[in-house]
Parts: sequence; C-alpha cells; structure tokens
Amino acid sequence: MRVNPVGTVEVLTGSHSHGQGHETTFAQLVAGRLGIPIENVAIVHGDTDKVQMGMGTYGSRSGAVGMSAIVKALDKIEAKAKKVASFVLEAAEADIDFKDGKFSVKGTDKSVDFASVALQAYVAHKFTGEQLEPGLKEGAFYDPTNFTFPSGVHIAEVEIDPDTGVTTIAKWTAVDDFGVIINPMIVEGQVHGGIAQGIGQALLEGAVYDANGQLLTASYMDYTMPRADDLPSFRVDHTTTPCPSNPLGIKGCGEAGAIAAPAAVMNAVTDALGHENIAMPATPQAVWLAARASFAKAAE
Amino acid sequence: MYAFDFHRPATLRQANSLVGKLGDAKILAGGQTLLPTMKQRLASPSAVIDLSGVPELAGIEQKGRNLVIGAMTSHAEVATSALVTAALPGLAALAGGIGDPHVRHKGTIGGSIANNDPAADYPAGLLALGATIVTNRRKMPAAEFFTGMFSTALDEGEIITKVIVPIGAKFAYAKFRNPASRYAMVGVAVGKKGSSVVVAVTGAGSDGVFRWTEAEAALGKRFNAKSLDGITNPAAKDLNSDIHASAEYRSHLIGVMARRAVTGATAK
Amino acid sequence: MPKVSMTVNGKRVSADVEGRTLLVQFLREHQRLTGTHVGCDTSQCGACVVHVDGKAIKACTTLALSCEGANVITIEGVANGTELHPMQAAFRTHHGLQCGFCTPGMIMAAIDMVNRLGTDLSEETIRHELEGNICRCTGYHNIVKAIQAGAAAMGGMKVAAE
Ligand SMILES: Cc1cc2nc3c(=O)[nH]c(=O)nc-3n(C[C@H](O)[C@H](O)[C@H](O)COP(=O)(O)OP(=O)(O)OC[C@H]3O[C@@H](n4cnc5c(N)ncnc54)[C@H](O)[C@@H]3O)c2cc1C
Ligand code: FES
Ligand code: FES
Repeated sequence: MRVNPVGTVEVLTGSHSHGQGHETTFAQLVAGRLGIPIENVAIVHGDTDKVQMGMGTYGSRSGAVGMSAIVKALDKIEAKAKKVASFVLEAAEADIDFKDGKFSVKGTDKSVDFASVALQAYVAHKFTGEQLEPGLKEGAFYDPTNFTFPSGVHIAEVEIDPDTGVTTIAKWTAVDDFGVIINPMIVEGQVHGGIAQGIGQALLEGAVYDANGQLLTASYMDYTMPRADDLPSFRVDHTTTPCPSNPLGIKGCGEAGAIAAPAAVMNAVTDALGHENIAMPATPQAVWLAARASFAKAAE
Repeated sequence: MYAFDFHRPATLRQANSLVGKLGDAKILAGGQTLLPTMKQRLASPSAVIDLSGVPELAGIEQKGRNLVIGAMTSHAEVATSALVTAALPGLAALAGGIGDPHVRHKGTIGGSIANNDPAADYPAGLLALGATIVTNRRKMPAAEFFTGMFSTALDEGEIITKVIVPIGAKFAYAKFRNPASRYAMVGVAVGKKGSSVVVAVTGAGSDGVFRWTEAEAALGKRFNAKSLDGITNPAAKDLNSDIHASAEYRSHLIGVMARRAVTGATAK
Repeated sequence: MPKVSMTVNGKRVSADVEGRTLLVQFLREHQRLTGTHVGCDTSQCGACVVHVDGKAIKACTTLALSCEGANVITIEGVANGTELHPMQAAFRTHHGLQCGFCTPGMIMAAIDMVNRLGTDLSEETIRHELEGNICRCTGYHNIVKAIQAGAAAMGGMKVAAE
C-alpha cells in the first residue's frame, strides 16, 4: 500500500479482478478507513511488472483473504501515520486519534488531515531520520486462520411443459449469509452470476464428446449457454452473521449461487417428476423422457 | 478463412455476368451462413459476389393475390413489414423467430432458402404456403426447389431473385428451438388454402424439410388440432438424431408442434 | 488490395483490405477501435455488435468491403465527449457488467432495441431481444435492469449520431 505525498493511495494486490469488482470494493474499504475520497484510491492488480506475486481470484476468497491483507496493511499505515502526526501536531503518539481522515490530539482542537500527514511523511521536515524513517508505504501478507462458511437458502420454482419437457424457472428467491458485506450491489451481482451458472449446469450446459474423444459441443451452436430468456430476474437478500475468522467478518460469496442453484433446480425438477431418475443437464429431452416414465408409473 | 476476390455488383445484370465469368464464385447475401462456413474452411470460393449493393433484389410488394419478396429482403424486414403482417402474420412471425435481432438484420430470405439448412425455418414455411421461387433463369414451386438437406434445384450460376408467396391461406409455424443454436430442432408449418392443407416439417427430417402427408389428410377433413389425435407421428427411422434430440423425441415433438401450428392458424 | 471507405463514428476512414477482412478486424486492427470485442468468432455471442446504417449487426460476420460507403457506429461513438450515453450510464449505475467483455455488444444491442421498439421496454421484451448476446458473468439480471433504465433515460433523445 503506497500512500503518495498528495494523499492518494495505491494498493497493489495479488488478488486479481476480472469482473469481481475489487477496484470498487477494495477501494471502498481503503477510502472508508482513511477517510479519503474513493477516487483517491487506485487498485493495481494483474500486472507482474508492478505486483510481485498474485494467485488470481478463486475460492470465494478475495474478500475474506485479500481484504484481510489490506486491513493489515492499513493498520500499519495508520500506525506509521500516527507517528508522523505526533511530530506534526507536537503531541505524544498515544494522544493522537485518527478519525474521518483527520489526526487530532485528544482533548484539543488541534488536527491535521491525512494528505498533509502523507506529505510530511516524505518531506520529513518535522522529524529527523533518526527519530523516524521517512515515507508512508507498507506491505502485508495474510494467511487465513480458517475457512469461511457462508450459508443460505435458494428456492427454485420451476414449471415443466409435459408435452415438450421444457423446464422454465418461474421464480427464484435466495437468502444468503455472507457475514459482513462491503458492497451489497457487487455481492448481489456475484450471486446473480452464480445462480445463472448453476441453472446452466442444471438445465443447459454440458460438454459432450464422441467415442473418439472429439468434443461435440465445441461452439455455441451446440454448447448451450444460458441466455437472458432462459432465466428470470432473481430475488436476492441476505442476513449478516459476522465471520469469526477474519478481521472484517467477511464470508465468501462468489461461489454461493453456483453451489446452491444446481441443487435447488434439480430438487424442484425431481419434485415435479415424482422421481429422481434424471441427470444434469436436465435438457428438454431428458425431462421429457423422465416425465414419460412418471406418467407410465402413474398409469400403473 | 482463405483469401478470395471480392465483387460487389450494383445491378442484377452485372451480377449475372459475374457469375457467368467467375468459375468458382459464391454469392454472398447476408453472410450469416456463408461467412461462418468459410471461417471453418468448409467453403473456400476463389471469388465472392456480394449482392448487398443490388437494390432491385430487396423489398416486399403485394401483386394481386401474392406477396413478392425480393431475395435480398432481410428477415427483419419480413418480420416487421406491414404488408406481410397484414396478409400473412404467421410468415412475419416465422421470420421474427429466426436467429436473433442482429442475424435478422443481415440474413435474407434468398440466402436462407438457397442454403436449405435442414434446421432452417423458411423452407417449411414456404413449402406450406405453396410459394414459388424465381431465379434469374426460371420459376419453380417450393416443392421442386427444396431437393434435400442443404440441396436445392439451383444450378451453377443461378441466382434467386424473388419469392412469390400466395396470400389468403390460414398459416402458422410452430418452432421448437434447439436450446443451444436456436435453430429449429423441430419446426412445423401448417398452411390451409381452400380444402388443401400442407404440413411441412423442418429440423427433424434426415434429408431436410419434408411434408407430413398423414397429417395433411387428417387436417383436410377437419382443420382442427384434434384431428391429429388418431394418427401416428412420422417414424423415427426417417428422422435425425443428435446430442440435443433423439429421433424418437423429434418424432414426438413433430406431433406437439403440428398441433400448436394448427391452433395458431385457426386462431387468426 | 482493394480499398474500402466508410464513416466510423462520424469520421470518414479508408484502408486497403483483403476480401476476407471482417468488419470487426477493420475496426479493431485498422482503426484501432478495440472497444468492439470478439467473443466467439462463430456468430453467436454478440460481443462484436456494432451499428451499420442504423442497424445492429455482428461485425464478426460481415465483410469490411460489404460496408463500403456505410455509416458505422461502435461503442466508442455513442458517448457525447466525456458524457456517457444514457445506456452506458445505466449500465454503470445498475452494475450491468462484471468482466465487461460482453458489454460493448450489450450496449449496442440495447440502443438498437430502443431504436426499434421504443423507450418503454418490458423485462420480457428485453430478455427476448437479448437472444443474440451472451453474458457469462451477470446472470443478465442487472443487464436487464440497466437496459430498462437506459431505455427510459433515452426517452425523447433519439441517438443523435444516427
Ligand atoms: C446465430 C445464428 C442463428 C441463426 N438462426 C437461424 C434460425 O433460427 N433459423 C434459420 O432458418 N436460420 C438461422 N440462421 C441462418 C440465417 O437465417 C441466415 O441468414 C441464412 O441461413 C442465410 O442467409 P444469408 O442471407 O445470410 O445468406 P448467405 O450466408 O450470404 O448465403 C448462404 C448461401 O446461399 C447462397 N445464396 C445467397 N443468396 C443467394 C441468391 N440470391 N441466389 C442464390 N444463392 C444464394 C450463398 O452462396 C450461400 O451458399 C442463423 C444464423 C446465425 C448466424
Ligand atoms: S464475436 Fe461476433 S458473435 Fe461472437
Ligand atoms: S460481464 Fe462478463 S461476459 Fe458479461
């Protein structure tokens, strides 16, 4: 985490974002903590020229693990900045408070803002190199003490056309507990995408090979990607039970939709069919065959 | 895609003389089938003659009891044409169900029928409507034009110029989309004019579009979906089978789609 | 090599191209307008959608030479200077994109949808009209919301550039 002399902050993170919105969420965390405008925070990722080591984004861990590392770095930045502020404000370090982007001396109206402290950290006019090493730049690594355990309930309501075997998702309701949520819009987006992927797995998507190992579903002519008209809008909500194993209380959210959706869809489909003899993807043909078996059984 | 020479004539005359001159040339209409095929190197013409600059080939007009649709008329134009919507709403709906909006802006009726994809929508529709295909050389009924999967009666260098569709029929098309490609996995077009009924099936036949004559006979007696209850669906042995649908499933869907098409045709 | 000339985002451009040069290659490689994406190159995904003479088409399934004299609008051409087009703004406000790969095509398809069907679009219409645009990230939920809002915001303002 590099605090520039003008008070802007650059965060170099090993957690890469390819659409998960780290640029927003991570910046929100830093801006909130340091009391600076979000535009003053840049998130740098995915460039080995700049970021020494990274392992991408996976396992629903960028919030819980990546942001925990950011919190650790922020702790160090704040501690160092307080030292700088104590020289600027000519007060004991223990008497410095940091709140809403301002360092102030307890019980007085003396204060200095974050950007001024950042500048002073570099120009070192108020302290000597012997008293404090100039600069405001810290790094942190974080290894989680435990996994996070999100939980939730997804309800799929499906309609099956017995004539054709076409399954339509009539309604989707999901409530998840992801612990503390930094940005609800982004978390909901993750859930939406996950549900779509899960519905795809349950009803549409499948890689098919022929006997010679030739991939038959090699383009979207044959591989069924979920399209907008295959899906409904989703009703998504959450409860908040903070996670005990990381400083922010965050649980993973990225995979939740994709984990819950196939089970919810297949439970609904097998409930409608009256038996469980159907595999994913439950294509129209598969459902039609399974429904025929149900009708035959009912007629017995 | 292999390299080729590109030509864009401005008149049908120029197009005619180009196809005569250039041996191994392909006509380019909307390109929505030809270009993907060339990218896959399933076609590699040495020259391509783009008809998009020939205005006389596009457009829709009503001439007496017929709609005359230029070969270069896009699916979107047929789908939204006031003439087609008024005279044959089922045909407008068929065109509006081809591919997606972007494909419909480019793809043409001439290209679709020249290609005669076994899963294409127009061949079934035009067969059921008793349309006539007009080329730079002759006229022929749809029934003679579509000769089998991906094959037509077109000769080398023959250019489709327009399609003549008689109006006044009760007509509807019901399509069961392939879940991946959205082409017809089974499509059934039903047309009734006077006492004659045509039931044309696309997407399912092992040799392209075909007529379901048993259904035609039953519907000729009484034009109602219930008339199909007694008869057996086309046999699975004559139908195709792929990763999306077995021949048995397709056979079943033909019955379902035929009923939906008849219901659609009688609703209007 | 034959020469092709067209108007791209209001600017007259021309280049020598091969017969087989696709419009999307002309835009990305000759004009360096890399906003238009190639997702599948097999004509299904819609990442390459641009407007040619006012209509949304797939630039990966169109030859550059077929666009001689045409008026082409790409995603780079819809904003008014630094002010986002209402449809772009709606995608941002409603988190209508995650990785952003499908987004240029989605926005061009959405503007085309409004041009054809008006500014009051139902969810069902939007979902149906998106048949030619695939998104792997968003589950379409926020895209549908964004298009509905973007369409409403476009109310009255017919896309100026077209
Ligand atoms: C994503 C996608 C989805 C699609 N979905 C469907 C669908 O659901 N249903 C459906 O029916 N089709 C579908 N299509 C195909 C589409 O309708 C094509 O537009 C059509 O098959 C070909 O028309 P075209 O104008 O694009 O022809 P082109 O691709 O330009 O040409 C096709 C063939 O016809 C020949 N040809 C073209 N015009 C003439 C002419 N006037 N005279 C003689 N020969 C000619 C060409 O030489 C070529 O061999 C889809 C295509 C795509 C890319
Ligand atoms: S790149 Fe053109 S449709 Fe996918
Ligand atoms: S936002 Fe990633 S594909 Fe749509």
